[in-house]
Amino acid sequence: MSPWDRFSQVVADRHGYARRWKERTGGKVVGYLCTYVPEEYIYAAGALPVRVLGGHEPQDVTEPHISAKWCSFCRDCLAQGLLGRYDYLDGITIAQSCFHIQQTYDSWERHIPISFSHHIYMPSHIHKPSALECLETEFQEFKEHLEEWTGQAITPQRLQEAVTLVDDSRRLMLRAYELRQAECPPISGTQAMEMVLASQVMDRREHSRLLEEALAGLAPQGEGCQDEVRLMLLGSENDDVDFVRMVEGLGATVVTDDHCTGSRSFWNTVDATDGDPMGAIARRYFTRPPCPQKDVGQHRVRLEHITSLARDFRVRGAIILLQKFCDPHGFDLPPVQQALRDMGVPTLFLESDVTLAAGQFRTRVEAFLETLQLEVV
Amino acid sequence: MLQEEPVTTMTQQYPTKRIDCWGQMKEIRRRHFRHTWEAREKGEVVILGVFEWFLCLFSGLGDFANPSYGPYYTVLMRNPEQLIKNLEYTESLGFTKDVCSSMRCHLGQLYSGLTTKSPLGGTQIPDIIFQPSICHSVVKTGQLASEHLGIPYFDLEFPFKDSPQTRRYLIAQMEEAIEWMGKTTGRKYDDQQFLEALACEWECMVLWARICELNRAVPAPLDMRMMWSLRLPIVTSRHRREAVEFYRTLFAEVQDRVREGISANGYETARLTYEGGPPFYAVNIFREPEPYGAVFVGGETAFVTMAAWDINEEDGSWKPALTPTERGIEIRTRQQGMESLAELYLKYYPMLRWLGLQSKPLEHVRRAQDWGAKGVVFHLDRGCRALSAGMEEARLAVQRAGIPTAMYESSMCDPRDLDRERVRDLLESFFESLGLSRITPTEGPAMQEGGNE
Ligand code: SF4
Ligand code: SF4
Repeated sequence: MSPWDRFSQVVADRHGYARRWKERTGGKVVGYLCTYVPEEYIYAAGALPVRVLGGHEPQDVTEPHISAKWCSFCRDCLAQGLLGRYDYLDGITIAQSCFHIQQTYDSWERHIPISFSHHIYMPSHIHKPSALECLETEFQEFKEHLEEWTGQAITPQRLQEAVTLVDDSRRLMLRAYELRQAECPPISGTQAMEMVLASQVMDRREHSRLLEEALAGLAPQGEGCQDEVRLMLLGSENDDVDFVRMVEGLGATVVTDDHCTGSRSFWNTVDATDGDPMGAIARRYFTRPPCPQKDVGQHRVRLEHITSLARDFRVRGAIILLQKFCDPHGFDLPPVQQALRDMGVPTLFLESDVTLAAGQFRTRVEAFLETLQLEVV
Repeated sequence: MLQEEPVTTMTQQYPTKRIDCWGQMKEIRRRHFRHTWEAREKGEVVILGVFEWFLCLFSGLGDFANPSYGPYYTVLMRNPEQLIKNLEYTESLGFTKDVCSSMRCHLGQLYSGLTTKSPLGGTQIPDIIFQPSICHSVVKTGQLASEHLGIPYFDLEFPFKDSPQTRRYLIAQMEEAIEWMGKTTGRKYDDQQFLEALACEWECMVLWARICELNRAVPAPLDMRMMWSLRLPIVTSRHRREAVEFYRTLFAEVQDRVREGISANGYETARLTYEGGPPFYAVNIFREPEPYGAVFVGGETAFVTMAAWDINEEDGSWKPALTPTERGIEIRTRQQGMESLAELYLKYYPMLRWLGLQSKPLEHVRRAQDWGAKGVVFHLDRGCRALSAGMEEARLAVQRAGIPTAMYESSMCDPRDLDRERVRDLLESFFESLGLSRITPTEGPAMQEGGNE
């Protein structure tokens, strides 16, 4: 099986993977609901961090806990928990984010038996120097709580090792993304999404080994993509591999993204070289490409990041996918569209519900791609 | 066959009378409005933003005005047709209908050029934009306003958790804010004025909690509709002496009402609470129980968003906080003032605690129990993420405590989301399920003019 197929398989069978990991290692598995949770500490405590994702299927179990007027991704995640799909989790964590996913955490903690839960108060106004000290203390408390629960001291050495482990994984994914800048990317958008999703649900040690192998076997250029439209994906949480596959099946190549299930989760590293890994970890989470919930100061950071991605990856169009009711991305929608328009990148806005099939957007995507192709002609 | 609704003839149960200091409240409201639009002429600082917290922090700059992004907000709430046009305009700019309706109403006014247009004529360009963030919607609106108007912007994060580090964070932001305000407005910050305003802010919020506590009495001296109006000076002026004077007067008056057994509107067949905000364009939703002789004796927008409470974390019970002076704490320096302000909001202000979600259900249950609610009505706002967060869990907890609930959906500033008839039907069925029936008063007016407008 090729490494890419393995990523795909792990994503499809992520629960089976985590169960087997647990059996094999005897370690604990900690679910996390937001990519601002510092995985480094979980690895250093000897546990496996696993991102909680939706099941992409209709469900009717969350209504008493979260109204249908909240983001479907968050409801889907909670549904997976309530339905017992995550019964192997020993713990659940979140770093303060939007109210939607915060509710998922709250209901999870209330209704799903679990031996460890931890809420990190992640400041939203991360452009403020004073927020950093707050986060450092929050991370310190997270570390202590993990130590107490696992019985494993998180020594500076263990933490440094965990930082190296996660950073290496990030650098490898960054290398994979850079290859997509090529005229004819050797990695498809579908493969890239599965690679990142796999990194969020599998042991990064194994993930990195596979990815190194995968990258070693790649030619710098792919084949047969001359007429394909280079696209960027951005917007709300999006782990819908079928959607990307559908888009790419229509004559496009997804070359980059600004998603927390994509580039945002690994774009920068900790680089703890000054002997202060804890401080370096906090700084890394502060300076990563922010989600809109954390881009609230006078000088926006996201727009610059998004436009530079569009430029570096030479995208011809962008699909902005919003989960219905996702107001953090909803408020950023007009400025993001404007910024891309200003640089000559047309956008297609799609409002989605993770529990609905990707095929619903087929006609609109087709029409969008046709316009882009016409523009070139 | 159509069934006749049961109607019970009932003699007025309790005496009722108007609120004597109602006019004082209206006068404060009127002065605040004029002050907002005359500030520039008087040489005062004009601070754009939607906030009702931390007002004392700005008082160090002297008296200031605080217009919101949408100065015609209240006018629009009285004119649903215009309101819808305004919302549609915002949506035409690319904002989806799922973002907070209140902020869509502000944004429509911002982008159509109304923000700086004084209702008294002429324009007033704000000096700065300051936006404390209680939710993502409001802080994003501040950011958009700053970009659109080209005015310097300061965002202040309210942590939703009380811990030594969140207090330090909040205090550090206050320091940054004071320095930034001084620099951008060119004014010297006066600590004494800050401390005087801080004392007012504390006292107003404590007095309001005490007034809410008086509503535990049977009959309740106030109902939610009255409280909705009477809380206005807290919203706009909690840092001012005139607001303190008003709440002292109101507190004494409500004490008298309790002593004399004066009720909000003559009947109290059942006590109910109302959670979530009302639709601002249909505030009379607070009066829905009246035909049944029932009363909304409290709820989130009166109790949680305005008052300082000392909530017992173990059992969720509510009692009004004590002011620093009552606790023998002297506040002499800016540092002490900032620490006290952080304590007020992080420890004693339930709204911020509730946004952390954890304590919300238990505190809901205790409040419903202690205020004697026979049922609880929840308004799930489709766009207000702050008030609606955790509402389903709170409802579940209230139900599990044996208190019946009803929940309706709408948006507080988008009339297209309110199906008035359906909501009325839902509420009427709910009241009937509580064993209530419509009453025909046989003696005295159920409501006296002026007390409940
Ligand atoms: S940011 Fe949007 S997509 Fe992500 S959890 Fe929040 S509401 Fe859902
Ligand atoms: S508190 Fe609610 S209504 Fe107010 S801005 Fe935030 S989301 Fe909108």
